[in-house]
Amino acid sequence: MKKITAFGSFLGLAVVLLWYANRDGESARVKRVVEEARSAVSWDGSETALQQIAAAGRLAGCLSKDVEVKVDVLGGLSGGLSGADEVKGAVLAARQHIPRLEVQFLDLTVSFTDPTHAKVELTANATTDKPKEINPQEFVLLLHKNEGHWYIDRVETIRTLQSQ
Amino acid sequence: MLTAETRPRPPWWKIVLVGRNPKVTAIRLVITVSLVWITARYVLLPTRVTGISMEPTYRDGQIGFVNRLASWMRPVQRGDVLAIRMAGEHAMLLKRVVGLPGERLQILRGKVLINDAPLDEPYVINRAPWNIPPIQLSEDEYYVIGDNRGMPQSLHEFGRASRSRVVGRFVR
Repeated sequence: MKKITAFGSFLGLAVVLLWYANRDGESARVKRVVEEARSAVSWDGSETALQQIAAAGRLAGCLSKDVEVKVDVLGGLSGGLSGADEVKGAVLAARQHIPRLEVQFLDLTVSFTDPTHAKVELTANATTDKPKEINPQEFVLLLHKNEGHWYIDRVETIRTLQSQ
Repeated sequence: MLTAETRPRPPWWKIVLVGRNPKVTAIRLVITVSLVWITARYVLLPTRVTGISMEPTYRDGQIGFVNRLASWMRPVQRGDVLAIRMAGEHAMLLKRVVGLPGERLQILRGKVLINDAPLDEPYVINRAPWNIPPIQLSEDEYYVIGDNRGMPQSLHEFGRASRSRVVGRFVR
């Protein structure tokens, strides 16, 4: 009887540890996708046209085909983009107008609603070569897992303060 | 055997570097570093102001501290400058409390009205004609605004902040 109890406890502990390690692994995988997306929307202006297209392709690889981007930030800038192609096009267009953009993600946290859906909360901070300040902005990203890969389904800005 | 009297005195540079008793110096160093680390992480968070929304009270680049324990010592009051966290505490908004939980607030041509009475704000120098219709704050909300009211309303981040987002009071 003692042996069965010990074996049961060991098995239970192993399952918990495995679950925890796997969960942590998923979190790391989600973070890798978000980091890939971040690096694809940062540039220093020295890239060739081919490198720019490759970066936009890397970004598209992180997004689901029907990705939704909803932006509502200070200064009345609000709008949305639908689909990976539209997002890719917008990033390529932005590169023509902004010579240098460095995006940082701060305080990134990952939570899982179920094994194939994740939510990422973060603060994005962007700097350009223009002296005009860009305020840090909170974002929520929703991701889903498909055939072992995580894809960004939705990107949405969050207002830290609600004026009304 | 060497006693305290007979033990040779260490050279002056050694005393300057590690003290008369290196063990005691090491313990003091560990305690000091730990205290500084604990204070900087859990009590007084060193913070640099960026942006112009709190001008003229706080200017871009100024250094200050966020006192995390301040709201334990006394409740948040109108006029306090709070650090409000975003997704975390690596980027925070620095704003002044103008409305307290449960109050009714309105901004009329730049003037803040609390329960229909105009609020005296000596820290505001310029006042652009901002307008916010009357709102009722819940028991869990503060209304916070930066001191720079001369800038356009659309470029200034201000509004309701839930209690859970307050990291602490900003001190210089």
